[in-house]
Amino acid sequence: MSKPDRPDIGTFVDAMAQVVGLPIDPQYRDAVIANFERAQQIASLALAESLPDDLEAGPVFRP
Amino acid sequence: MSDTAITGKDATAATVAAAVSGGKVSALGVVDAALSRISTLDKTYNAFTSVVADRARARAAAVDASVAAGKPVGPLAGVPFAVKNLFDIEGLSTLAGSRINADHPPAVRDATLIRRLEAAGAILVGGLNMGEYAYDFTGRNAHVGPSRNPRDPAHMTGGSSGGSGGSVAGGLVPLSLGSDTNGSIRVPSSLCGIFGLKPTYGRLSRAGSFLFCDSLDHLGPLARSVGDLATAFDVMQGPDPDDPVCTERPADPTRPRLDDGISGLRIAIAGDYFERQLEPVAAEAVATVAKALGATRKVVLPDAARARGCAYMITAAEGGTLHLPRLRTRAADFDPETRERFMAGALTPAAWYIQAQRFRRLYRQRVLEVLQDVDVVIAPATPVTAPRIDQVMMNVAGVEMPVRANLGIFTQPISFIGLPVVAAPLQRPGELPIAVQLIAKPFDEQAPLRVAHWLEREGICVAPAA
Repeated sequence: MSKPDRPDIGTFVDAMAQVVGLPIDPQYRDAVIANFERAQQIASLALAESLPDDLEAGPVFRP
Repeated sequence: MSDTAITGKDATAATVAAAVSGGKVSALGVVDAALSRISTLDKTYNAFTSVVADRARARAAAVDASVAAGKPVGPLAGVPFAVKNLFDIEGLSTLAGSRINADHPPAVRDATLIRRLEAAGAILVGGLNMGEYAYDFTGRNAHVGPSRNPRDPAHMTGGSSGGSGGSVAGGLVPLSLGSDTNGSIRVPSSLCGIFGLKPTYGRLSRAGSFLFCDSLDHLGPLARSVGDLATAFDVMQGPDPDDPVCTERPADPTRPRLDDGISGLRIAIAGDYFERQLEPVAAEAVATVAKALGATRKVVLPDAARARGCAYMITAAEGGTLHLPRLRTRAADFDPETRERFMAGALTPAAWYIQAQRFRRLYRQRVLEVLQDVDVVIAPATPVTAPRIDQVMMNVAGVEMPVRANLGIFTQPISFIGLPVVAAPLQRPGELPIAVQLIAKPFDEQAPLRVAHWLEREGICVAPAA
């Protein structure tokens, strides 16, 4: 059973794929889960910093 | 200079254009020589996926007719070039490295940048191999086989603009176009040992190209000389209402000041993140360039690791969403090296994506503060030289890591905020080349091009054909 701090990515992938209408053939499922787990790890590090409320993304990014 | 040297694989675009516009050689002769090289050498390099010989010969004949009539022919007269096959070429389906897009109808007109290069006299000779839908750092492609590195065909070109790197490094053409979302011009430039320019985000029109990740996609040139990069960049600049991201700034030519040298330019070395996770060869490249330039100051681009992570998420989310209709109906036709990554990206929570976009703005502010009193920052382009073509894992500074995910570790934090970068290669006799990044402030392509040109003149960074 998944611990609270270790989300069950397989369940998420199955449910979200259904929500967005993406059939995932069983032969691809493990690799999709592995890729999503990697994204989740990156997200947890990259998004750790809270951002100010008034920080907006640029709709057309002009560097 | 002999005709053979002008039409041979070592000739730069500048050499060709001067000879053609002066009537010393014909554009047709130059194009035929390039087509001949492609038909022989590309059996090894696998850089080209299409060759438009009839069209190229017709345009060459038109250039020759203009020369004969005394009409102006442009600064790239008779220069053969090729484009990553995500650029629209009139009459061909725009593959973007895929099998699926072969079913698309042929493009009805050329991409904006092809039209602008041809308006300057250059001549398109074909479309180039690439990683599927540009989601790639290796140059591998399951559908047509990998691009092979002309410096050693047992090694990868890097990607995703693999054919763009291989075609120039191998001397098939002096100039190519590629795209760069997270490093796809700079990684092949490094692994193939050529010059590449990733301009400022929005500087060059992307109209008529098959995009991958709109927020981060750039187009740009690759070449064996900095002068050729600058000339190509200059003729491609300018607003384009067909690309909503393309800047409305007027063109800012770089070629006139290319010979100004490095006097007055404040040059620093990227520290911290850019000094970790790299092999000694990459660190030595940075040190060699820094020493030549007399650069000793180090600067820290804050939060580079976080920037890389956010670039990863934006890429995954936008790429996955773009391809969702094809993933639903034609999953089996994707390259196995992209399919499950696109699927996972299509499931990205909105909170991750939006937070990454907001962080992008904050990171931009922080980096621009650092760059207030710096004109050019030197950083490694890749952590290693070209891995073997089928290599999956690599050892970097004692750590085993996947090749595909980590070739762009130093390029992603820079393209994330659209800074202009020139990749400048160091040749290593008997060994594979590697490049450094020369990074500048937004819309200042002039500074890194000047530095790269100075390094080229000093013999530090050069890019002969393999």
